[in-house]
Parts: sequence; structure tokens; C-alpha cells
Amino acid sequence: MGEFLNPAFLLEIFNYLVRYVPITIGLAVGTMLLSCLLALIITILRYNKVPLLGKLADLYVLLCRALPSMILLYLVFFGIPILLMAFSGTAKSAMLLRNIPPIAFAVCGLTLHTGAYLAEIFRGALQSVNIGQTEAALSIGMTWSQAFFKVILPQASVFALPLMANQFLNLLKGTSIAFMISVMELFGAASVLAADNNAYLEVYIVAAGLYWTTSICFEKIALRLEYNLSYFKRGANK
Amino acid sequence: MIKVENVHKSFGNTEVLKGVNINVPTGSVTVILGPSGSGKTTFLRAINFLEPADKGTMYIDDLVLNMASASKKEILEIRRNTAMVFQNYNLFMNMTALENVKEGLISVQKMARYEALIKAEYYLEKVGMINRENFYPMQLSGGQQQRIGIARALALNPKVILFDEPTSALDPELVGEVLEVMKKIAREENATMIVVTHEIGFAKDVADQVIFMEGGIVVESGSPQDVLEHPKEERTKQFLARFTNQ
Amino acid sequence: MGTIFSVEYMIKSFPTLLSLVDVTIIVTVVSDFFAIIIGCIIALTRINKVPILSRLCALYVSFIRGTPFLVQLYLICFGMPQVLGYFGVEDPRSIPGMAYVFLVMSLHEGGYIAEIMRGSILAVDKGQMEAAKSIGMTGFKAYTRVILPQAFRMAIPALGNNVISTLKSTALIFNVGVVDMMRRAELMGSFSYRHLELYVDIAIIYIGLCFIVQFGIAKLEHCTQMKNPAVS
Repeated sequence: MGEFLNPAFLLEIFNYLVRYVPITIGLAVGTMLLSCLLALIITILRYNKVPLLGKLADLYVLLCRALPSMILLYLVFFGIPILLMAFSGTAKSAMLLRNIPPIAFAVCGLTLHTGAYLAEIFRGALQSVNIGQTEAALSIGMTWSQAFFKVILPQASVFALPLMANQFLNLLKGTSIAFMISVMELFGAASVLAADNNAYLEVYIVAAGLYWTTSICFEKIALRLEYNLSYFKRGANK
Repeated sequence: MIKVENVHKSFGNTEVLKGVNINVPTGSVTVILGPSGSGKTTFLRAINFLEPADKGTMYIDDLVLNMASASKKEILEIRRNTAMVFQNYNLFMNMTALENVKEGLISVQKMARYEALIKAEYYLEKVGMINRENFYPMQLSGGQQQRIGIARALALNPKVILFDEPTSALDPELVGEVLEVMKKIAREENATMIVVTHEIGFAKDVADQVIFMEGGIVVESGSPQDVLEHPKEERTKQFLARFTNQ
Repeated sequence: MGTIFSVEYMIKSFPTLLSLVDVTIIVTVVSDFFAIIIGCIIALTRINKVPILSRLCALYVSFIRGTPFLVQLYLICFGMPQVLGYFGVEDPRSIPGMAYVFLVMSLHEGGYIAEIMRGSILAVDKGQMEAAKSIGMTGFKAYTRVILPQAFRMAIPALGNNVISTLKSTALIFNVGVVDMMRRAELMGSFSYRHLELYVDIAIIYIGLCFIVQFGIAKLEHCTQMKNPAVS
């Protein structure tokens, strides 16, 4: 069994792959921030029932939750060049496209996917706040934005945060598909390494381990955050 | 002084308010009674535009406005001069008792924080909740929450305080403490109060004017003695008959 | 516009891609079937706090939920043959790749279903088990005749979401040699260079499948609603 899962070998693989973990985390964090922004805009459009854009927002959420993230990624990867060509001609686009790194497409695709899920989470969170809270705020003369930021948002966040944390964990794992459009993140590096050394089992076990530990770390952070933000449910002083 | 004329409101095809008129002198306590479905809560909520009326005119001291076509600015102005105490208290769940009372003073009346603190504590003291000022609504009973709700409304010194069935959601043993606070305010503060309630006893003790509504209109109105003890209208008599059997 | 995006090509390729949708459907259905069995076993093991095993199950669920599906897929599909080789299995390549795919998907979805079932079994009123035991039922009978049916009814929305999630995971299995729509599109695209049209086709097919499943779930929810005696 000495050849099987040699610890020294595993350590070598670990040292090589661990350098890619920041890329994965960076990809996830960047996408999450952009997705929150997108979801916020979408939620505002839907909540205020803006005439045309509101309906488009509804459609976007429906479609991007029904499609596998892989498909969205390919649609973005092949679609953006086509769009560029349609608007600025083939020659100019080819020049532009050569300078866009694949990671940009990956972030785009992942943002579209995650944004739709976050939009649904935001919608549920807003609904979870009792309408009486809004009425009370308005009845003492607060403007809508005062009511939103001082009363509704703090309460909606407590509802939304566990779901957002879960979505982020999904995103951490979801970054692995970026390899399909040649982004060198953790899974990509692992695949190349495994193929080069014909050591599939060892490499993927280490890769899985790295994803697993990263996941657990973020889970713990999320739990702490949720605990701190739900102060008014427990009655402790802030 | 607040006067409201010819208020109409429909929900879909059902007309809930069919031309309601009331006149409330400054500093007085007006109690609105009526069976459920009479439109009394809808009428109260129309006053601060939580339920926008289809038709009607409102006069508050020097302000005059058309209730159907009031602008956002006018509505905000009305809401800055009125405050409401809700059936379900609606305390801001993410703030302590003290913060609930301070919030309006700081955000809406742009008061300095220290001034707001003093004023908020004064009114919490008045409703007997000062020893719970750092508690969150989730830690308090219904009666306690409602008293804080009253303090929140009172602290703003509004021209009119609207009470929407303030004791209907409370357990029987907690009703008394809230009514006591309301009576105290009626006596000591010079606030104009419009109270929608089922508590006839409160009306008898404290009201300057009693209005009986049924089916979307004012059936009878007058002093408590007139309306409650010597009602003129048949419908008023029928409604009150339910309570004399207690 | 004709040279940049060809609607004609899109329409022409649609039937070709659609013909492979059966692979996707079969993988989803079979995997979910086994996944539900695996999920229930794990859930029950954890709920009954079976020594050692329930710890292992918790670890298993944590692993499945903490690692990407793609990693699990590659781990099993490329790693297993290596493992089998070490254990002296002759010519591990003779085992069809699909077997590994079914294995991974069942194990993967099983981990998620385990959590769903654990939640819904715990949500069934404790009194049900007490009543069942009090009339002499064994634990096993109580579970199969009383607890599990109720747990399943409550779990239908979550299980439905899981089926949709399985469906979406199938979009990745072409990487380990499965010949499905995605693989076909890859091949066709490498000849025609019209990738976008092909993936729009596939997107349409997946959206269609999604809606069918959602419709089915809604119908199922409706049918299994316990009839209110006052109404009927």
C-alpha cells in the first residue's frame, strides 16, 4: 500500500495546489459583490414594478435560475464576442477580444447566475418584514428611504443572510466550472496536474480537501456574522 | 382643530366609506365606535393616508387638502403632524424601547441626540416603561409594547394622535394598563386624540365626543352622555344593546 | 447579421441536439431514484444516532456539500479506475464510464437529499411515533407506515428543487465521456464554429425540461394535499 496515497506525494500536490486557492476565493468574492449589486438593481425594478424593465427583470430571474450555470457560462463566452461583432464589426472586435482575459467572461457568467438567485432571496427577505413595520415608520413621518434603511433593511438582512451565505458557498464550488473556458483556478490547476502526472486519485483528493476546508472556514465566518446581526432577536446589547 | 369632510373609499367594487364627516376640536378626545365592517379603521387610516381616500377634504389648523389628489409632499406634511398607535403595536423590532421613541425625534424632527434622549426618557417614564428602556420588543409583553407605542407617538407632540383599536389585540388582563395610560394622556397632555375602539367604558370616562359609525357613514355623534346613554338612532341603540348585557 | 448569428443553423441543429435529451433525462431520473434511497438511509442513521455510522454519515454529507460536483465527478470517474487497478481488478477500463456517472450523481444528490429528509422527518410530530409504538408497531413499521409518508409529503417542494438541481448538474457530465447534448454541441461547434447557436438550442431544451419538472412538482403537491374533511 506504500504506492497508494503516498503522504509525501500528497504534500507535494498540496503545496502546488494551495497557491490556487486565493484565485478561487477571489473569483467567488468578486462575483458575489457584483451579483449583490445586480440583484439589488433587479429587486428595485421588480419591487417598484417599473413598466418594461420590471418585466424584463422577472424574465431574467426566471431564466437564469432555470439554466445550468455551465450553459450560462458558454452563452456568455460565445455570446459576448458575437454581440461585439454585431455592433462594431468583425475586425475591431477581434482586436478587443484578444485583450479580454477569460476570467472576465467567467465572472460575467457566474454573476448572471448568482444574481438571479440573490434577487429571489432579496425578494423573500423584503416580504418577510411585517408590513406594519413600514406603516409605523411612514406614520411618524419618515420618508420611504429612511424607513427602508433604518427599519426594513436591518430586519430583512437577518432573514437574507443565512441564505446569502449559502449562496456564497455554492458560488465557491461553482467557480470550478470556470476551467471549461480555460481559467486557471483550483480545479483547473488540479486537472492539468492530474493529467500530466497520471495521478488522478491523489490530485483530486487533495483538491477536494482544499475546497472542503475553504468551505468550512467560510461557513464558520457566516455563522458568526448571522449571530452578530440578529442581536434584536436575542435581546443582548449590541 | 381637525375637520374631515365627505370621505369616500372603495375597495374594488365595495364602497367602504360613503361620505364621512367629522369635526374634532383641538385638545379633545374623540372616540369612534361601530361594528366591524363599519369602516371606522379604514377612515382612521385615510387620515394619515395609509389607505388613500378616493374623495374627501381635510382641514388641519391652517392646512387644507384634497385627500384624493394630495401630493407626496402634502402627505408627508400630514404624517409629520400626526402619529398613529396601531392595533398590533408595530414597534420597530430592530430597536430597543428607548430607540423606538427616539427614532422619530432624530430622523423626522431632526432633534439633537441628547435632546431626543431626554425627551424619549420623559415619555417612557410617563407611560411607565422607563425601567425597560433597553429591552427589545421581542422581550416585552403586548401591553408593554403598546405603552411604548403610545410613548413613541406622544413624544413627537403631534397635532393629532390616531389610535387604531389599541387594546383589541391584547390579552384581557393587559387591556387595563393601556387604557390607564391613555386616560392619563387625555387628562395631562393637551393632545388631540381620535380613538377607534370597542371600549365603551373608556369612551364614557374620557371622551369629549363620541361618534357612532355603521355601514360607511356616521350614524350619530355627540357627547358621551347623548350618544351612549340617550341614543337617538335605532342602529345606535341596537349596537349599544350588545354591551349592556355585560 | 447572417454570418454572425444564424437562426437557420440554430433551427437545423435543434432536432439533432434534442435527440440526445434522453441521456439527460435517464441520468437524472435514475440518479435521483438511488439518491432518495441513499438519502433516507443516511437521514435515518443520523436521526437514530447509530454509533460510529452516524458520525461517518455526517462526515459524508459535509464532504458532499463542501466540495464541487465537478471535483467529485472527476475524482470518481478518473480516480476509481486507479483505485480498482491497485486493488487488483483486471482491466478497470472495461467498466463503462456511465456506471461511474450514475454512482457519483447518486452519491452527490444523496448527500443533499439526506439533509432534506432529515429536516422533514424531524418535522413530523413526535406524537406520531409515540402513537405508533403505543399500539405495538415496531420502529421499522412505524417509519414505513406512518413517519416516512408524512415526511415525504412535506419534503416534496424541497425534493422538487433537488430534481431541478440534478437536472442542471447533468450539464457537466459530458466532461467525463458521456455522449449527451453538450458533447454533441461541442463536436458540432468545432466543425461549424457556430457555438452560440448550439448553446442557445441547449438552453431552450433545459428551460423546457425545467418547466416540465416544475409543473410536475406543482401537480404532485396538489395531489398529495391532505383533503380537508370540512371541505369534501
